[in-house]
Amino acid sequence: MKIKVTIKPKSKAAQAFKKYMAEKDAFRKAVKSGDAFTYAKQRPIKFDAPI
Amino acid sequence: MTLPYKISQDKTTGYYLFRTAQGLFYKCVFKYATPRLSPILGVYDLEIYDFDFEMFDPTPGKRKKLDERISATLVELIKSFFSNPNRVLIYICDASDGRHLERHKLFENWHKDFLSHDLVRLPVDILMEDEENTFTTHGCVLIRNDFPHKDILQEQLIEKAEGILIEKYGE
Repeated sequence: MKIKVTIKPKSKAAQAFKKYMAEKDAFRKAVKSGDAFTYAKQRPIKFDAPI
Repeated sequence: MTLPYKISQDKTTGYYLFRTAQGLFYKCVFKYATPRLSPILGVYDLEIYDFDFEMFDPTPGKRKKLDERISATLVELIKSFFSNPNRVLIYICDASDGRHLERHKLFENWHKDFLSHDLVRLPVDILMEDEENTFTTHGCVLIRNDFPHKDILQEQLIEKAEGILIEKYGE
């Protein structure tokens, strides 16, 4: 089974999705630049620990 | 199976960390999503997490050999996550650098090679239209083979995916 989500332009979902992707992009860039701890401190971000 | 690297957890940020033999630093993160989703999911004690990982290369100019221990470590982390049968893992590929298809394929291969015996993988396609283009990114939802509430997951998460995006990120 495949899950398909279609997001219409200029919708709230489109804004939401862009925000979600921007967060992923910011995390990626922070790690790539070796700045992940500063990134986490500045936001401040505390990820969860399920393990 | 190849020996995984030792994973540690940074208590201040929540990062799960490991360093490879070639000096690459990996950071893996889980974000607990259930409280922001349909309360029905909570009633059934479903624990839904968004997963991401990224690598820092302190010597980017130096060519790195293929290291199977990296996949083994990430697979081990995912297996540990699924200690509870009520857990659901969502992985949406970051598309901002244009490498989402590679990430999608990587995750698909890990599932096929190491996780398919224990986990069901539901592929996700997200299509976003704008005035000129249709942009697609990919991801997946992972659950254990013995996940007890597939019907609830279908009704309350999969069929409401668009609404969830709005609830979670649309404020």
